[in-house]
Amino acid sequence: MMRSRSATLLFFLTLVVETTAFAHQKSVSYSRWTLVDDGAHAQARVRWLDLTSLPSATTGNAQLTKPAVADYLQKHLVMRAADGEACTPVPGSVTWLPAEPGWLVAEWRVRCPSEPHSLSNQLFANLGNHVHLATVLTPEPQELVLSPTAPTAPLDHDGADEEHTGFVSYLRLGVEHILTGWDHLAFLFLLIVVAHRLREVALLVTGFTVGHSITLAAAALGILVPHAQTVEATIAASIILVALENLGVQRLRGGWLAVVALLALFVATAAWGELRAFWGLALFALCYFALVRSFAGPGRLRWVVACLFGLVHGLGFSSVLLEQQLPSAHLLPALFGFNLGVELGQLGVVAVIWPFLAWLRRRNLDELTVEAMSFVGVALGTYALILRAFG
Amino acid sequence: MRRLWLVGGGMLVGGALAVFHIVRLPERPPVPEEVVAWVNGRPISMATYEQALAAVAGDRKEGVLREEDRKRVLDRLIDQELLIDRAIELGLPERDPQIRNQLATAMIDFLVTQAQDAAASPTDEALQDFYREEAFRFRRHPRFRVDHAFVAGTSEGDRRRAERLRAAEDLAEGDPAIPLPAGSLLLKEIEQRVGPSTAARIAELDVGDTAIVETPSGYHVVRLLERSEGEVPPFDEVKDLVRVAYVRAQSEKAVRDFLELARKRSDIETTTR
Repeated sequence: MMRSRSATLLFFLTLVVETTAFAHQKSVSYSRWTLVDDGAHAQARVRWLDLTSLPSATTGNAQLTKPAVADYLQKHLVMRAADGEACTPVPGSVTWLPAEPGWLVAEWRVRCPSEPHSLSNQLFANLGNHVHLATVLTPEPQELVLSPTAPTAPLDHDGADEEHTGFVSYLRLGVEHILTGWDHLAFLFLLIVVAHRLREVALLVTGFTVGHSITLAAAALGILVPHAQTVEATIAASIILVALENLGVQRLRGGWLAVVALLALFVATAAWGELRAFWGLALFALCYFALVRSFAGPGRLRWVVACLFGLVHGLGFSSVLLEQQLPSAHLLPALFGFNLGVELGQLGVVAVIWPFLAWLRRRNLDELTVEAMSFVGVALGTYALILRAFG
Repeated sequence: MRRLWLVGGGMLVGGALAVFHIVRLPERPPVPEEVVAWVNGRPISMATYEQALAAVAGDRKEGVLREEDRKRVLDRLIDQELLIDRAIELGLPERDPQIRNQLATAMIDFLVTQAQDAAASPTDEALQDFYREEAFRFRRHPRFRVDHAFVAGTSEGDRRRAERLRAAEDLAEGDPAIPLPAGSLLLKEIEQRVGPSTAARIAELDVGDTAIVETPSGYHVVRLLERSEGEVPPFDEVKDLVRVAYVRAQSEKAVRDFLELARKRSDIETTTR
């Protein structure tokens, strides 16, 4: 009874918390470089939200005017010649292109003293987890993944450098993506936190992997078109659903209050957030908790949830590849590398968490851990859902 | 057991409903059967290419195209696609008034052509219905037979003279002016000779009535001798006119209907009072 009351209370508490801390879930920017005789044409795409995180913007020392942003982009996204000398932006060459809401797209021209040799990214270094994806249009287009750990990549004029382009870079991007994607990790953690045997963990992780691999491939290959906002909100909803199930609210006296609060949140998301998928999710959640109540042990339907919501998480993963608009010839290796990276990152996380959970279980702290983590899951999931649906 | 099936079914329905709004299938525009080039994933059809070749060949005296002509034509078509891509990327359709006007005009032309194609071969029944409903479009203009005199000058004496003329049976004693020809005239013909205010007064008269119309140069004395109302000619006599009017009316309706629908499904907010 206490647990269900606490879960319900958490719901309503998270509804009134100020919404800023989790606005920054992932930070990615993009650029496209076309090499010409004496330099290159650059086209960069960045989020307004990332720009507002810059120290100069938050301290109010400088206004985020377009010239200031262009200057920032030109200074922090730099192409260099072989001797390390930076290519210089051509004055007056900046053009602003129309962009989708929340994004800025700028074009400019750079002049290089000799053939361009590398690309460096220092954009949004303050965020710590910013990834920049660049496409360089040489005769053989290259995709570069520039992260805080590898902010510079050589331009591969003969197609030999696999470390910064192609499969390897996407493998690394996949690992980074899952390790910096708190929502995917939270869902995975809440899935396995109630497992008692390694076999259960294997089943859950496999279900999640199968689910997200299918939709990641389908979306990246253009077979399905995801609705980005709905996908992100549904990922947050998946965290709440699993966390509430972990708490076993459906079997507690008065536990339905928490389920009703969840349904009310879903209905509000559908009605006022205009995310119609949540009408379906509300019905799904209602029936799911009714079904779970009929089963004896906790987590009997867990693998179904892992697989079904894995499908949605896969659509979330795909956004990184879709944003880059990879040429079709580069799509398959990038997709394979990225998915493998996600799996490796996921296995790494499980390899670290599972022994820790086993250690807690030996000290009879497993129930407490499940409850504490699930409360946190409910809070974070609700918070993220509100932010993604109404923010 | 039945309950389990019920909630299981509910989960399925809910899940399906959610999936329906989470993803959609990509829209793939129909690809022409024969394609001569692809530019950024967009096809240039053989039909477009041949049309462009025919236009170039038409400019040639001998009408024969060489290999380099064909290559040049294809290059121009590719250039055109590239320019359009860049214009869209720069958002020109949103910010260049000239392009916006051209787009609006092209859209109207498109709707009109579509409607004209749909109404190209109307049935006799449709035409007759249209003829009955829109009879006013085919009504002939009324004609007037008028007796007319003019008194030059606007003094009191001139006015009395005009009064005398109105009372007389014959109006032939007026001053020289542009005479109204004998016979039935259209109002427009009368207006050309005696001015719009006098013509308008004539249109108001009953047959046999006489009126004086004062103008800056003098008094027009007019008597309406006969009026033939504009009748609607029989359908067979004006069938061709009906067809033209029908197609035009359908085109106008198509544009009106589209704008009405567009307004319904668009979010429009006006800030002017």
